[in-house]
Amino acid sequence: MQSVYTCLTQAHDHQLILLAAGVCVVGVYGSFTVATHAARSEGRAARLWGGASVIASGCTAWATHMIALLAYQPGMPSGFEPTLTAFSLLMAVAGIGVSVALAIGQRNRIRRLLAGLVLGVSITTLHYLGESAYLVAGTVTWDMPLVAVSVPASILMFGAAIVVAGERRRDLRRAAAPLLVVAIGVLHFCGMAAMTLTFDPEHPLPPQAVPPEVIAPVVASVSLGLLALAVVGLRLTLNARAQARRDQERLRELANLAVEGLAVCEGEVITTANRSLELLSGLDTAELVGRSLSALLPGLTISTLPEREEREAELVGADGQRVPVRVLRSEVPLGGKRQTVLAIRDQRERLQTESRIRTLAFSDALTGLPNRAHFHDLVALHAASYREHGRAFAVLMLDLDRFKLVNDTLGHGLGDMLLRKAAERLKAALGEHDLVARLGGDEFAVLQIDVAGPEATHALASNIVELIGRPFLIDGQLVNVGASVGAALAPIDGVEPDQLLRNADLALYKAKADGKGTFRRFEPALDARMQARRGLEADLRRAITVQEFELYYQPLVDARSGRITAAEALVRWRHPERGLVSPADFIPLAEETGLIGPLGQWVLRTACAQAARWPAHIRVAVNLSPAQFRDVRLADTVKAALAASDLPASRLELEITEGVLLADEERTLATLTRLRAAGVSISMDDFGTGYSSLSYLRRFPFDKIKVDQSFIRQLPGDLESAAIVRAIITMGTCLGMAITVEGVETAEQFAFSAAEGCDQVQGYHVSRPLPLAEFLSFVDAREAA
Amino acid sequence: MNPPGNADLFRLVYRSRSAIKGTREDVRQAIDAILAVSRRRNAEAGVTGALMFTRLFFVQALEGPTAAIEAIFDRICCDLRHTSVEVVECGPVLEPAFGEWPMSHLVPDADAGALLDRVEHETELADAAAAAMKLMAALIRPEQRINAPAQQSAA
Repeated sequence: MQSVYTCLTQAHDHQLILLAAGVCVVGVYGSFTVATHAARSEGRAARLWGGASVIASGCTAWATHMIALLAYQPGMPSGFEPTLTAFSLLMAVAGIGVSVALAIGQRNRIRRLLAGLVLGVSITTLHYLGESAYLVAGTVTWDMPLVAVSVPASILMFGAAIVVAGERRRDLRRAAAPLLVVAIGVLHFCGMAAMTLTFDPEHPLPPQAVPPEVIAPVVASVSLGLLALAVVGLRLTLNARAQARRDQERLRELANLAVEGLAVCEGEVITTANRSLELLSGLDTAELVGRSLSALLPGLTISTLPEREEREAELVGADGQRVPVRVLRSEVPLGGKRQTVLAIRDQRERLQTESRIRTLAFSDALTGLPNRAHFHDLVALHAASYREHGRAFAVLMLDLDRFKLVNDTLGHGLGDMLLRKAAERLKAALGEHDLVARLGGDEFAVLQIDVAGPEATHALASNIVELIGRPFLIDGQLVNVGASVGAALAPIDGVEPDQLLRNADLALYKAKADGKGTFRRFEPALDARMQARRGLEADLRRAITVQEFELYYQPLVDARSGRITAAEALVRWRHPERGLVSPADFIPLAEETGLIGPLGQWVLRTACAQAARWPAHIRVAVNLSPAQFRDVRLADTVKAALAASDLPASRLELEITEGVLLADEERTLATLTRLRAAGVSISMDDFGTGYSSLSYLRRFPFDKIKVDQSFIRQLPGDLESAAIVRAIITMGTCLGMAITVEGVETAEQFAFSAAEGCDQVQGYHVSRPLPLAEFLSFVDAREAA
Repeated sequence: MNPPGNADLFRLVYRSRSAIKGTREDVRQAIDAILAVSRRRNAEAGVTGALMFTRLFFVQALEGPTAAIEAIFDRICCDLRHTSVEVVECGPVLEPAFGEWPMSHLVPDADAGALLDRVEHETELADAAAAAMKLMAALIRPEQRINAPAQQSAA
């Protein structure tokens, strides 16, 4: 050991030793940077740079060795054997090349150990070849034990150095370079120390020996080459770093553009976050970096999160507020290593949109109440709950009386306001757990929950009728409507949702029929009546297609001459099973179901066609229902019937009741005016039974007024009726309208009417309504008389 | 002619039957509560008026901007503590007739006699209304210098 120490401290030129170390460092740096560049490159460039790196490493080892030899001061003339010296350089390069080829891309430790051993052997070869190429004027003796210990030790250290260089653990990897340095040091200095040179003038330097003065410039130029390579390597490294920085910057910009929050993590800790994540969490980058994921996304274990599969989670923001998010994990190679990247997507907007869509789908936009579909679901839910818990409930259906009138006359805007206010009042009427829904139009429904008994439902219905019956103040206008309510109680009136809804509807229908602003509960008789009605409706449809209708005619005679001047067409239904059905039984149904349209047209066409064949002085009177006036084509229909039958318009009288004039007066008056313009006469039927009749008489110049038969029936005994009839006749005469008295059944009534100056008389005293053939015979008989 | 501050002045007077149950004291407390709430809300909405309670009936007059009156009347009509709400008077007016208080409380005294009878028992709304207006005017006049509302209600 003493000799090794002496060798180091005394036998070497220290400056040259430092130079050797410097060349070694520069060479190693150059080799490594070039090798790193080779690793970044591909194909031919990678091979070229790799080759350069290997050659540079070999040269480094050789140059270091040579400078160290030159630093050696044996104290006697020395020189170098040129062939062996050159050979040692080749061996170094080849050995390192083989070693790198063995080690490259290898995770296997045995392979790395092998590569390290090859490297050790090649460096050893370099060293001892180099030493044997070192010639002195003297003899060389070797301390064989020192060689025998130092060489394997050094080779093993080379092996160990290359093994740890490929380890995953950083601290182990760090040990590689010192190990390598120690290995080289041990090899070199032990090798030098093992060598003893004895000056012997008998052994002069062989003639081929190259003196140090000659070899030094060669070594120097190799060293300079290495320096140049190191500069190139430095440039390459700087370029690569700049490129990496630019790439990273670009990546960060790209990440900041992303709408999703992105976090790069190392294990459970965030190392980078983008701007979206800052915004999402309310934390800035400084606060995010270093934060553990479990603090940001509690309940989410990142290691168990499958890659590329979104998970619902909650993000805890700066002020502790929780944001619903979806998290996607992916492993991405970033900066040469694989890193965990979490994409965090804000779900608030989506959830809000979904909830809005749900609200829109299940509620009525105008009032915000549940809609029909939602209400049906709620009823179904309670029906199911009833089956489980036996909790009674009730379904109430209601609609606003006169709503259509308000909507038509005061405008839809006001109608909408009315519905909104009505919804508020309904809410005020409800119990704490009850629900109200708007089914559409002015139809509402209430689900009453935990009903103690029918009285509770009755009380709720009364409250509804009371609140809706109060005046509404809308834009300074008072509007009065009312509510009709029908109810069905589960389980008494049904348990199935459909049945309850239908029965409540039937009850509502009954409430409306019984006068508005009332409440009716379902009763089985309603159902039976509804069934009968349905049967009748189906019958009526069939009857219209197969034309089971007939027209009867009731004559109207001149009060003075007794001659027939007109006949009123009256429809009869000859039912195949029920016989003749009274108009009172089917006309209201036809009006409700809209069947009055086709039926009315048939009556009009048939009456015109049949009257066209009567004596020319007999006119025909046809009744028009309010429902027919809702059809804007009515005037055209009448004209078409006249044209088809060739009946002069002057022979057609149309009879309307006040009901026609109640709704949408403007349009009705326009239609009446068109009909009048076509030459058709218009009569006011059933005069005196409705209200505000006089104003209608002023607004439209009727051709004829027919005094309602209820006044005639009391004649001539009842003084008040007599006075009314007399007054109507006087008024009609003054307004230039003809007066017909209906329902004249006795000779006294006829005489009274004639005496008071009425123009026409109609009634059983003249004739009951007759089928066409009988009517024609009646006409013939009268004409002949 | 029309002071700018009163450009939108709307008056609504209604009569309704009390549905408050309980002893005289219960009723008094309920009325006090109604008055307290109504005074607060009216003050917020810039509405003035008077409430007369006859033990059977309420007669309440509200004066203020149309929209505010509409909102207050909506609330009144959602209240189940009274029934048979009938509007006595409703429309734009030039001047307030029921004073400047958010809600004066008018208590008819023994002198009211015949008028009170008519307010409570007259079946024709118009007649009951005229009586109510007259009575309220009589009650309110001693406290505040205002025009006689009875004349306006006759219009």
